[in-house]
Amino acid sequence: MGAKKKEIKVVTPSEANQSQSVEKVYVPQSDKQTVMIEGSVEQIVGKLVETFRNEIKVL
Amino acid sequence: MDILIVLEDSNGKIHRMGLESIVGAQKMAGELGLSIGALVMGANVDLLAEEASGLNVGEVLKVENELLSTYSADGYAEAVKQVIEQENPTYVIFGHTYQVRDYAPKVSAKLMKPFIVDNVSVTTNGGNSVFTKLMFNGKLFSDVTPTGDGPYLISFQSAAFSSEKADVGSAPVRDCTVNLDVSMIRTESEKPFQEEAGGIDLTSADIIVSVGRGIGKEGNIPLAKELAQALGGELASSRPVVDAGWLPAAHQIGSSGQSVSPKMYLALGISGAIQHVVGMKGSKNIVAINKDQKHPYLKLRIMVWWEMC
Repeated sequence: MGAKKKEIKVVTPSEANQSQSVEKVYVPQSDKQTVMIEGSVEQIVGKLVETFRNEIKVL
Repeated sequence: MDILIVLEDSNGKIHRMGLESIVGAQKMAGELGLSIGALVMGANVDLLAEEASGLNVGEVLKVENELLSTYSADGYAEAVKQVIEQENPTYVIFGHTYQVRDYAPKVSAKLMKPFIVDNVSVTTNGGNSVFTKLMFNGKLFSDVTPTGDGPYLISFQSAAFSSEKADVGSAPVRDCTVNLDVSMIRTESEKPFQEEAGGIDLTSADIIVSVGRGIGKEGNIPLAKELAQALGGELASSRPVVDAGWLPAAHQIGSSGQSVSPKMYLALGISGAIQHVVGMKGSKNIVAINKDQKHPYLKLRIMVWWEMC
Protein backbone atom coordinates (compact mmCIF):
# COMPACT_ATOMS: atom_id res chain seq x y z
CA MET A 1 0.00 0.00 0.00
CA GLY A 2 2.91 2.30 0.80
CA ALA A 3 4.25 1.84 -2.70
CA LYS A 4 0.85 2.64 -4.17
CA LYS A 5 0.81 6.04 -2.48
CA LYS A 6 4.47 6.81 -3.10
CA GLU A 7 4.96 10.01 -5.02
CA ILE A 8 6.45 9.54 -8.49
CA LYS A 9 8.71 12.48 -9.14
CA VAL A 10 8.90 13.49 -12.80
CA VAL A 11 12.04 15.27 -13.98
CA THR A 12 12.83 16.61 -17.42
CA PRO A 13 16.32 16.28 -18.89
CA SER A 14 17.02 19.99 -18.41
CA GLU A 15 16.33 19.66 -14.69
CA ALA A 16 18.47 16.60 -14.24
CA ASN A 17 22.08 16.99 -13.21
CA GLN A 18 23.60 16.23 -16.60
CA SER A 19 27.26 15.41 -16.10
CA GLN A 20 28.39 14.42 -19.58
CA SER A 21 27.54 15.19 -23.16
CA VAL A 22 27.68 12.72 -26.06
CA GLU A 23 29.25 14.66 -28.93
CA LYS A 24 28.83 11.99 -31.61
CA VAL A 25 28.26 8.31 -32.21
CA TYR A 26 29.97 6.66 -35.18
CA VAL A 27 31.17 3.43 -36.77
CA PRO A 28 34.90 2.86 -36.11
CA GLN A 29 37.08 2.91 -39.21
CA SER A 30 39.75 0.35 -40.09
CA ASP A 31 43.20 1.70 -40.92
CA LYS A 32 43.19 -0.61 -43.99
CA GLN A 33 46.91 -1.40 -43.89
CA THR A 34 46.45 -5.13 -43.96
CA VAL A 35 48.94 -7.18 -45.96
CA MET A 36 47.34 -10.17 -47.66
CA ILE A 37 49.44 -13.30 -48.06
CA GLU A 38 48.37 -16.01 -50.45
CA GLY A 39 50.17 -18.86 -52.16
CA SER A 40 51.47 -22.29 -51.46
CA VAL A 41 52.15 -23.47 -47.93
CA GLU A 42 55.91 -23.01 -48.48
CA GLN A 43 55.44 -19.45 -49.81
CA ILE A 44 53.14 -18.46 -46.94
CA VAL A 45 55.38 -19.95 -44.25
CA GLY A 46 58.46 -18.28 -45.78
CA LYS A 47 56.76 -14.89 -45.83
CA LEU A 48 55.42 -15.29 -42.28
CA VAL A 49 58.81 -16.32 -40.86
CA GLU A 50 60.44 -13.37 -42.63
CA THR A 51 57.84 -10.99 -41.19
CA PHE A 52 58.04 -12.45 -37.69
CA ARG A 53 61.84 -12.18 -37.77
CA ASN A 54 62.42 -8.84 -39.51
CA GLU A 55 59.31 -6.73 -38.97
CA ILE A 56 57.47 -7.85 -35.85
CA LYS A 57 60.76 -9.14 -34.38
CA VAL A 58 59.32 -12.00 -32.37
CA LEU A 59 61.79 -14.63 -33.63
CA MET B 1 47.32 19.90 -10.00
CA ASP B 2 45.04 19.44 -13.00
CA ILE B 3 45.16 15.68 -13.50
CA LEU B 4 45.34 13.16 -10.67
CA ILE B 5 46.16 9.67 -11.86
CA VAL B 6 45.42 6.89 -9.38
CA LEU B 7 47.92 4.04 -9.65
CA GLU B 8 47.25 0.51 -8.46
CA ASP B 9 49.68 -1.86 -6.77
CA SER B 10 50.17 -5.09 -8.67
CA ASN B 11 52.52 -7.31 -6.65
CA GLY B 12 54.74 -4.40 -5.68
CA LYS B 13 54.74 -2.76 -9.10
CA ILE B 14 52.51 -0.24 -10.82
CA HIS B 15 49.64 -2.09 -12.51
CA ARG B 16 50.12 -2.25 -16.29
CA MET B 17 46.82 -0.45 -16.90
CA GLY B 18 47.97 2.37 -14.63
CA LEU B 19 51.08 2.80 -16.76
CA GLU B 20 48.92 2.78 -19.89
CA SER B 21 46.66 5.41 -18.40
CA ILE B 22 49.66 7.60 -17.61
CA VAL B 23 50.27 7.75 -21.36
CA GLY B 24 46.71 9.07 -21.78
CA ALA B 25 47.22 11.57 -18.98
CA GLN B 26 50.52 12.71 -20.48
CA LYS B 27 48.78 13.18 -23.84
CA MET B 28 46.09 15.34 -22.20
CA ALA B 29 48.70 17.28 -20.26
CA GLY B 30 50.77 17.91 -23.39
CA GLU B 31 47.83 19.07 -25.50
CA LEU B 32 46.14 21.21 -22.87
CA GLY B 33 49.12 22.34 -20.80
CA LEU B 34 47.93 20.53 -17.68
CA SER B 35 49.91 19.33 -14.67
CA ILE B 36 49.85 15.70 -13.48
CA GLY B 37 50.03 14.20 -10.01
CA ALA B 38 50.28 10.43 -9.53
CA LEU B 39 48.71 8.87 -6.44
CA VAL B 40 50.01 5.68 -4.85
CA MET B 41 48.41 4.28 -1.72
CA GLY B 42 48.71 1.34 0.64
CA ALA B 43 50.39 0.43 3.92
CA ASN B 44 53.93 0.62 2.57
CA VAL B 45 54.26 2.05 -0.92
CA ASP B 46 57.85 3.31 -1.02
CA LEU B 47 58.73 1.08 -3.97
CA LEU B 48 55.59 2.05 -5.84
CA ALA B 49 56.28 5.75 -5.20
CA GLU B 50 59.85 5.30 -6.38
CA GLU B 51 58.68 3.64 -9.60
CA ALA B 52 56.10 6.39 -10.17
CA SER B 53 58.70 9.09 -9.56
CA GLY B 54 60.60 7.79 -12.58
CA LEU B 55 57.74 8.87 -14.84
CA ASN B 56 57.11 12.24 -16.40
CA VAL B 57 54.59 13.52 -13.86
CA GLY B 58 54.68 16.73 -11.84
CA GLU B 59 54.73 14.96 -8.49
CA VAL B 60 53.91 11.69 -6.79
CA LEU B 61 51.46 11.72 -3.88
CA LYS B 62 52.11 8.95 -1.37
CA VAL B 63 49.33 7.87 0.98
CA GLU B 64 50.30 5.32 3.62
CA ASN B 65 47.74 3.98 6.06
CA GLU B 66 47.48 0.59 7.76
CA LEU B 67 43.81 0.39 6.79
CA LEU B 68 44.93 0.36 3.15
CA SER B 69 47.24 -2.63 3.65
CA THR B 70 44.71 -4.87 1.92
CA TYR B 71 42.15 -3.81 -0.62
CA SER B 72 38.67 -2.77 0.44
CA ALA B 73 36.24 -0.77 -1.65
CA ASP B 74 35.28 1.33 1.39
CA GLY B 75 38.86 2.16 2.35
CA TYR B 76 40.14 2.87 -1.15
CA ALA B 77 37.07 4.93 -2.12
CA GLU B 78 37.34 7.05 1.01
CA ALA B 79 41.09 7.56 0.62
CA VAL B 80 40.77 8.62 -3.04
CA LYS B 81 37.84 10.89 -2.19
CA GLN B 82 39.84 12.64 0.51
CA VAL B 83 42.86 13.13 -1.77
CA ILE B 84 40.58 14.58 -4.46
CA GLU B 85 39.09 17.00 -1.94
CA GLN B 86 42.56 18.05 -0.80
CA GLU B 87 44.09 18.45 -4.26
CA ASN B 88 41.02 19.53 -6.25
CA PRO B 89 42.11 18.18 -9.67
CA THR B 90 40.01 18.74 -12.79
CA TYR B 91 40.47 15.15 -14.00
CA VAL B 92 40.95 11.97 -11.99
CA ILE B 93 42.28 9.17 -14.19
CA PHE B 94 42.15 5.43 -13.48
CA GLY B 95 43.06 2.31 -15.44
CA HIS B 96 39.81 0.34 -15.78
CA THR B 97 40.99 -2.54 -13.57
CA TYR B 98 38.76 -4.89 -11.60
CA GLN B 99 39.54 -2.92 -8.43
CA VAL B 100 38.63 0.36 -10.08
CA ARG B 101 35.36 -1.10 -11.35
CA ASP B 102 34.65 -1.98 -7.72
CA TYR B 103 35.50 1.20 -5.83
CA ALA B 104 35.58 4.12 -8.31
CA PRO B 105 31.75 4.28 -8.62
CA LYS B 106 31.72 4.80 -4.83
CA VAL B 107 34.07 7.77 -5.25
CA SER B 108 31.78 9.12 -7.97
CA ALA B 109 28.73 8.76 -5.73
CA LYS B 110 30.47 10.25 -2.69
CA LEU B 111 31.49 13.32 -4.68
CA MET B 112 28.38 13.39 -6.91
CA LYS B 113 30.70 13.78 -9.90
CA PRO B 114 30.53 11.94 -13.24
CA PHE B 115 32.51 8.77 -13.88
CA ILE B 116 33.12 8.30 -17.60
CA VAL B 117 34.24 4.71 -17.82
CA ASP B 118 36.20 2.38 -20.06
CA ASN B 119 37.47 4.94 -22.58
CA VAL B 120 39.72 3.83 -25.43
CA SER B 121 41.23 7.19 -26.39
CA VAL B 122 41.25 10.90 -25.65
CA THR B 123 41.46 13.84 -28.03
CA THR B 124 41.28 17.59 -27.64
CA ASN B 125 38.61 19.86 -29.03
CA GLY B 126 38.35 23.55 -28.25
CA GLY B 127 40.44 23.30 -25.12
CA ASN B 128 38.45 20.36 -23.75
CA SER B 129 39.28 16.71 -23.53
CA VAL B 130 36.98 14.44 -25.55
CA PHE B 131 36.87 10.81 -24.45
CA THR B 132 36.03 7.97 -26.83
CA LYS B 133 34.30 4.87 -25.57
CA LEU B 134 32.92 1.73 -27.16
CA MET B 135 29.21 1.12 -27.42
CA PHE B 136 27.34 -2.09 -28.20
CA ASN B 137 30.41 -4.23 -27.63
CA GLY B 138 32.58 -2.18 -29.96
CA LYS B 139 30.23 -1.93 -32.93
CA LEU B 140 30.01 1.83 -32.40
CA PHE B 141 32.25 4.47 -30.85
CA SER B 142 30.97 7.52 -29.02
CA ASP B 143 32.78 10.74 -28.17
CA VAL B 144 31.89 12.09 -24.76
CA THR B 145 32.82 15.30 -22.95
CA PRO B 146 32.26 15.85 -19.25
CA THR B 147 30.10 18.85 -18.42
CA GLY B 148 29.61 20.96 -15.33
CA ASP B 149 32.25 21.51 -12.69
CA GLY B 150 35.01 18.96 -12.14
CA PRO B 151 36.52 16.87 -10.89
CA TYR B 152 35.68 14.41 -13.66
CA LEU B 153 36.44 10.76 -13.00
CA ILE B 154 37.75 8.97 -16.09
CA SER B 155 38.89 5.38 -16.64
CA PHE B 156 40.80 4.02 -19.64
CA GLN B 157 40.27 0.52 -20.99
CA SER B 158 43.06 -2.05 -21.01
CA ALA B 159 45.44 -1.46 -23.95
CA ALA B 160 43.92 1.95 -24.74
CA PHE B 161 47.54 3.15 -24.75
CA SER B 162 50.89 1.41 -24.93
CA SER B 163 52.67 1.50 -21.57
CA GLU B 164 55.99 1.50 -23.45
CA LYS B 165 55.20 5.04 -24.60
CA ALA B 166 55.06 6.49 -21.07
CA ASP B 167 57.45 9.45 -20.85
CA VAL B 168 60.05 9.06 -18.16
CA GLY B 169 61.07 11.80 -15.78
CA SER B 170 62.10 12.54 -12.22
CA ALA B 171 59.20 13.58 -10.02
CA PRO B 172 59.32 14.53 -6.34
CA VAL B 173 57.35 12.41 -3.85
CA ARG B 174 55.03 14.15 -1.39
CA ASP B 175 53.41 12.49 1.61
CA CYS B 176 49.68 12.92 1.77
CA THR B 177 47.48 12.11 4.78
CA VAL B 178 43.99 10.66 4.82
CA ASN B 179 41.83 10.07 7.86
CA LEU B 180 40.45 6.56 7.90
CA ASP B 181 38.70 4.79 10.73
CA VAL B 182 38.26 1.05 11.09
CA SER B 183 34.48 1.58 11.30
CA MET B 184 34.54 2.85 7.71
CA ILE B 185 35.80 -0.48 6.38
CA ARG B 186 32.87 -2.86 6.10
CA THR B 187 34.52 -5.62 4.10
CA GLU B 188 37.77 -7.53 4.34
CA SER B 189 39.62 -8.93 1.35
CA GLU B 190 41.16 -12.37 1.42
CA LYS B 191 44.51 -12.95 -0.22
CA PRO B 192 44.45 -12.71 -4.03
CA PHE B 193 44.46 -16.07 -5.79
CA GLN B 194 44.82 -17.35 -9.32
CA GLU B 195 41.80 -19.10 -10.72
CA GLU B 196 43.55 -22.35 -11.48
CA ALA B 197 46.76 -23.77 -10.07
CA GLY B 198 49.60 -23.24 -12.51
CA GLY B 199 47.24 -21.14 -14.56
CA ILE B 200 48.33 -19.12 -17.53
CA ASP B 201 48.67 -15.37 -17.44
CA LEU B 202 47.63 -14.27 -20.89
CA THR B 203 47.65 -10.59 -19.94
CA SER B 204 51.43 -10.53 -19.64
CA ALA B 205 52.22 -12.71 -22.69
CA ASP B 206 54.20 -11.10 -25.52
CA ILE B 207 53.06 -13.64 -28.06
CA ILE B 208 49.65 -15.30 -28.14
CA VAL B 209 48.56 -18.04 -30.52
CA SER B 210 44.79 -18.11 -30.40
CA VAL B 211 42.53 -20.73 -31.89
CA GLY B 212 38.93 -20.61 -33.03
CA ARG B 213 36.46 -23.17 -34.28
CA GLY B 214 38.02 -22.74 -37.73
CA ILE B 215 40.86 -25.06 -36.75
CA GLY B 216 38.36 -27.81 -37.41
CA LYS B 217 38.66 -30.29 -34.58
CA GLU B 218 39.90 -30.73 -31.03
CA GLY B 219 42.69 -32.95 -32.34
CA ASN B 220 44.35 -29.87 -33.88
CA ILE B 221 44.75 -28.11 -30.52
CA PRO B 222 48.13 -29.81 -29.78
CA LEU B 223 49.45 -28.43 -33.10
CA ALA B 224 48.54 -24.90 -32.04
CA LYS B 225 50.03 -25.51 -28.59
CA GLU B 226 53.25 -26.70 -30.19
CA LEU B 227 53.35 -23.57 -32.34
CA ALA B 228 52.78 -21.35 -29.27
CA GLN B 229 55.62 -23.09 -27.44
CA ALA B 230 57.94 -22.81 -30.46
CA LEU B 231 57.24 -19.06 -30.60
CA GLY B 232 57.68 -18.69 -26.82
CA GLY B 233 54.06 -17.66 -26.43
CA GLU B 234 50.83 -18.73 -24.79
CA LEU B 235 47.84 -20.57 -26.19
CA ALA B 236 44.48 -18.82 -26.11
CA SER B 237 41.13 -19.25 -27.78
CA SER B 238 37.82 -17.74 -28.74
CA ARG B 239 34.67 -18.61 -26.82
CA PRO B 240 33.30 -21.38 -29.10
CA VAL B 241 36.46 -23.41 -28.48
CA VAL B 242 35.90 -23.18 -24.72
CA ASP B 243 32.18 -23.85 -25.10
CA ALA B 244 33.02 -26.98 -27.08
CA GLY B 245 35.25 -28.14 -24.21
CA TRP B 246 38.41 -28.13 -26.33
CA LEU B 247 40.23 -25.78 -23.90
CA PRO B 248 39.59 -24.61 -20.30
CA ALA B 249 37.93 -21.22 -19.74
CA ALA B 250 41.23 -19.69 -18.55
CA HIS B 251 42.32 -19.59 -22.20
CA GLN B 252 39.36 -17.53 -23.40
CA ILE B 253 39.91 -14.07 -24.88
CA GLY B 254 37.06 -11.63 -25.31
CA SER B 255 34.28 -9.83 -23.54
CA SER B 256 33.56 -12.84 -21.35
CA GLY B 257 37.24 -13.80 -21.06
CA GLN B 258 40.54 -11.97 -20.70
CA SER B 259 41.66 -8.74 -22.39
CA VAL B 260 45.18 -8.90 -23.77
CA SER B 261 47.66 -6.65 -25.54
CA PRO B 262 50.56 -8.84 -26.70
CA LYS B 263 53.29 -7.88 -29.15
CA MET B 264 51.83 -10.40 -31.62
CA TYR B 265 48.39 -12.02 -31.67
CA LEU B 266 48.27 -14.92 -34.11
CA ALA B 267 44.63 -15.83 -34.72
CA LEU B 268 44.07 -19.27 -36.24
CA GLY B 269 40.62 -19.92 -37.64
CA ILE B 270 38.93 -17.13 -35.69
CA SER B 271 36.19 -15.31 -37.55
CA GLY B 272 36.62 -12.31 -35.26
CA ALA B 273 33.23 -11.82 -33.67
CA ILE B 274 33.14 -8.46 -31.96
CA GLN B 275 32.91 -10.16 -28.55
CA HIS B 276 36.32 -11.68 -29.29
CA VAL B 277 37.85 -8.58 -30.86
CA VAL B 278 37.18 -6.39 -27.82
CA GLY B 279 39.49 -8.68 -25.85
CA MET B 280 42.48 -8.50 -28.21
CA LYS B 281 42.20 -5.24 -30.11
CA GLY B 282 45.07 -3.79 -28.09
CA SER B 283 47.52 -6.24 -29.68
CA LYS B 284 50.47 -4.49 -31.33
CA ASN B 285 50.48 -6.84 -34.34
CA ILE B 286 47.56 -9.01 -35.40
CA VAL B 287 48.14 -11.86 -37.81
CA ALA B 288 45.03 -13.75 -38.88
CA ILE B 289 44.99 -17.04 -40.71
CA ASN B 290 41.53 -17.68 -42.05
CA LYS B 291 39.64 -18.82 -45.08
CA ASP B 292 37.42 -15.76 -45.00
CA GLN B 293 39.05 -12.58 -46.29
CA LYS B 294 36.39 -10.42 -44.65
CA HIS B 295 37.65 -9.61 -41.19
CA PRO B 296 36.55 -7.29 -38.41
CA TYR B 297 40.00 -6.49 -36.99
CA LEU B 298 40.58 -2.74 -37.08
CA LYS B 299 44.35 -2.97 -37.06
CA LEU B 300 45.03 -6.26 -38.85
CA ARG B 301 48.63 -6.35 -39.99
CA ILE B 302 48.73 -9.58 -41.95
CA MET B 303 45.92 -11.68 -43.35
CA VAL B 304 46.77 -15.16 -44.50
CA TRP B 305 44.02 -16.47 -46.71
CA TRP B 306 44.16 -20.17 -46.46
CA GLU B 307 41.71 -23.03 -46.61
CA MET B 308 42.71 -24.74 -43.41
CA CYS B 309 42.23 -28.24 -42.18
